[in-house]
Parts: sequence; structure tokens; C-alpha cells
Amino acid sequence: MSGIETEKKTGYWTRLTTKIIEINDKYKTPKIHMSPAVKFTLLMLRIYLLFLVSLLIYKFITTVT
Amino acid sequence: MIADNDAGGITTYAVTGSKFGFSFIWIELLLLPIAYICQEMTVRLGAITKRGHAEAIFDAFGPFWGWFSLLDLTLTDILTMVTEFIGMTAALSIFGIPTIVTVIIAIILIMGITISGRYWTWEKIVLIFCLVNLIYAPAAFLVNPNWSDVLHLGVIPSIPGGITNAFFFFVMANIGTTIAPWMVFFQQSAIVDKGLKEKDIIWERLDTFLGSCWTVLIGIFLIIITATLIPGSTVESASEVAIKLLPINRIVGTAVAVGLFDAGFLGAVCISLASSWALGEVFGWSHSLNNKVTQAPWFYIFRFVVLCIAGTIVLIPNAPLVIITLFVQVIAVTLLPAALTFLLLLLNQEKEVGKYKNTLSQNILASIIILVIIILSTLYAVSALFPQWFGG
Repeated sequence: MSGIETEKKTGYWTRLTTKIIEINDKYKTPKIHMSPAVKFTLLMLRIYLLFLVSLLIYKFITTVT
Repeated sequence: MIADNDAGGITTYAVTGSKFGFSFIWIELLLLPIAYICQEMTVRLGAITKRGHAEAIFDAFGPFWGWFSLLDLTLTDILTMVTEFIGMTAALSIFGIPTIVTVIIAIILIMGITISGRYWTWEKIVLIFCLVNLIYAPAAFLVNPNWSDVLHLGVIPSIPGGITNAFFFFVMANIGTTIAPWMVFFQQSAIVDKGLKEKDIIWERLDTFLGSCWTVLIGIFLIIITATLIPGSTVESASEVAIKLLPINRIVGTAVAVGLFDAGFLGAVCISLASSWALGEVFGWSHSLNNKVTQAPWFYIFRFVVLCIAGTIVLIPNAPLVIITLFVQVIAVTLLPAALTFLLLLLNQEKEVGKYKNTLSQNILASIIILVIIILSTLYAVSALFPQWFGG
């Protein structure tokens, strides 16, 4: 790979990382009013996703072994 | 809304009709208000906030939920698009058209109708393809069903053979095909791109209602076709249904195949737009169908790349298409509860939506629907992953 190509690739990843950091900064503070109901709902969603991910991992392990 | 009847949807209806006959029609009718209530919320949110669903999630819930939704949506869209290409290629292979030709034609057509640089031109062309979807209506009359049976068995709720695992699985499959997570993102972004304002909400509600009716009616017509011509047959896909129907009634068999291609095409058009719009909103790229390719290069490049990835996967010999189809169901289930819950929470923020905030009755109704969808779609995904748990 030539030096220019490597530089182009590095440039692309740097720009992408910078953009992602920029997006994270822009939306750092959630604008929604965090009432107890909203907090509870978001907690339930996290638990639900953990449950689904655990099932997928279990499926993967039982399929492989 | 009509794109909800994508290739997967058409397959679900066709197989449902042959397995359960007319007695599943009342369940389709129940899906009409469910589909409308979910989609109507995106109308209000899009028209008032002028933000797509992905951007709204980032803004309201922060980067964690934002990235989760965006990446999950992109993955779901790519995988779902593979199933659309499977539908399109299977449909045209009935007419002897090679897979590679179908894939190339589909990609050219899908990209071609979006590069006009005008939202309205795109929408008018898509509406023509939606009209092709209606091919199932005359086909249903052509098969001469016993209309008295259709009304008695279809409209009066009954469960043939009781609540079996198979019945439960098909209920879940039909809900899954009517309420898709990408549809929430697609419709909200489309409302924003269309430039709809507060005064247009009433018309967009009507549009959504008609779209919901259309979606459900197409499903019912297809159920009538397969329930009349191939009752009790063991079929697994709409293309298989078309092949079985051709010797019985050539016109109807052809209609099913043409309709399947059209459904896959409409699905691919809308799904590819859903993630392109979402990425554009978050990354700040120009992302409007009113932009020409030179004005919104990333929007069009991303769409083209996603279409090529999905098309190429279908072309790979011995590609694990069954596993991909299975994963679509599971991945979609990880996104759907979050997308619908965020929709409900956002529509309770008076600061954001003002007088268009959900009323108490809307909240109760939407909460019940969302809870039922979450439970049933989760069971559907679990049953797809572990069929042995459900006696499969």
C-alpha cells in the first residue's frame, strides 16, 4: 500500500471518529424530562435487551458445542 | 404503510391462508386499528418536531439509545432487504428470469426512481407500484370463493383446532409482518422529507388510515386465494404458492408471482430509505429525496451500497438464507419494543409536541397495544430461535 493510500485511509477513520465524538457531544444530555415513569421504562428496556442478548448468546453456545 | 406488505408479509399471508383457511381473516381485521394507532403517532411526531425518529431518539434519550437504535435499524434493514431480494428473485425465476438479472434490474429501478431529485416524483412512482399490489383483489374474485364462508368463517371470530402452537406462531408472524420497526423510522422521516406541517396532520391521518386498510385488505385477498385453491397444503413461501397455483389457475398463479415481486420491490425501496434517512439525520448529511445525487452524495451512496450488499448476499451460492431470515425476526424484535416505547414517551412530552401530546385514552390504548406487540413478538423470536421450547 502506498503512503498516499495509507494516509487517505487514516484520514477517513480520523474523520469518522471525530464525527462520532461530535455526535456524542451534541446529544450528551438527554432532553427528555426524566420522570420516574421514563426512568422505569428505560430500565425495563435495558433489562429486556439484556434478556434477548443472553438468549442469543445461549443459542450461539448451544449451537457451537 | 402499504410497504408493510413486503415479500415476507406476502409469504406470511399466503401460507396462513393455505393452513388456516378463511378463519384467520378476523385476526387480520384486528390488525387494522393496531397498525393505524402505531403509525399515526409517527405522523404527529414527525409533523410537529420536523425530526426523524433516529434524530428524535438521539435528542431525547442520548447517545446510548441513539446509537443502539441507529445500528440496530441499519442491521435490521440490511437483513430484511436480503429477504426482499429473495422474494423478488424467487418470483421472477418462475418466469425463467435468472437471479442475477432480477437483482441488477431491481437495484437499477430502485435507485432510478429516487434520483429525480423530487420527493413528489418519487412518491407518484411508488404509488404506481402500490397499485400493482392490488393485483390480489381481482385474483381473489377470479378464484370464485364461497363468499358466504368468507363472511361466516372470516368475520366471526373462531379458532380452528383451538389455540395450538401453530396457531399462536401464525398470529405472531402476522403481527410481526404488519408492525415492522423500520416502518416507524420510515414514516416519520418521510413526513419530515415531505415537508408536512401541523395543518396537514388531518390529511396524513387519513392517508395512514387508508394505507392501513389497503395493507390489511391485500392480506385478506391473499388469504382468500390460498384458502380457496390450496387449502391444507404444506407451503413455505409465496413463490412456492405461485408455483402450486399455476397449474390450477394460470392467471391467479401469475398474479401471485407478480404481486410477490412488487411487494419485495416496495419493501426494498422503503427499507433502504429508512436507514439512509436515519443516518443522514444523525450524521448531518443532506438526506432529502428533494436533493439531487450531487447535493446529497452520502445519502444516495449509502442506499446504493446497502442495496448492493443485500443483492450480492442473495447471489452467493449456498448462502445461509434460512439463517438470515431467522435472524431478521430476532434482530427486528430487539428494535421494535425500543422504537415503539420511545414513540410513546416522546408523544408525552408537552414541550415537544404541544397540543398534539397523547391524551390519557390514547396512552392507555397505545400502551396496551405496545405491550401486547412486545410480548407476542418476543415469543415469536424465541420460538424462531428455540422451536423445541414450543413443541416444534
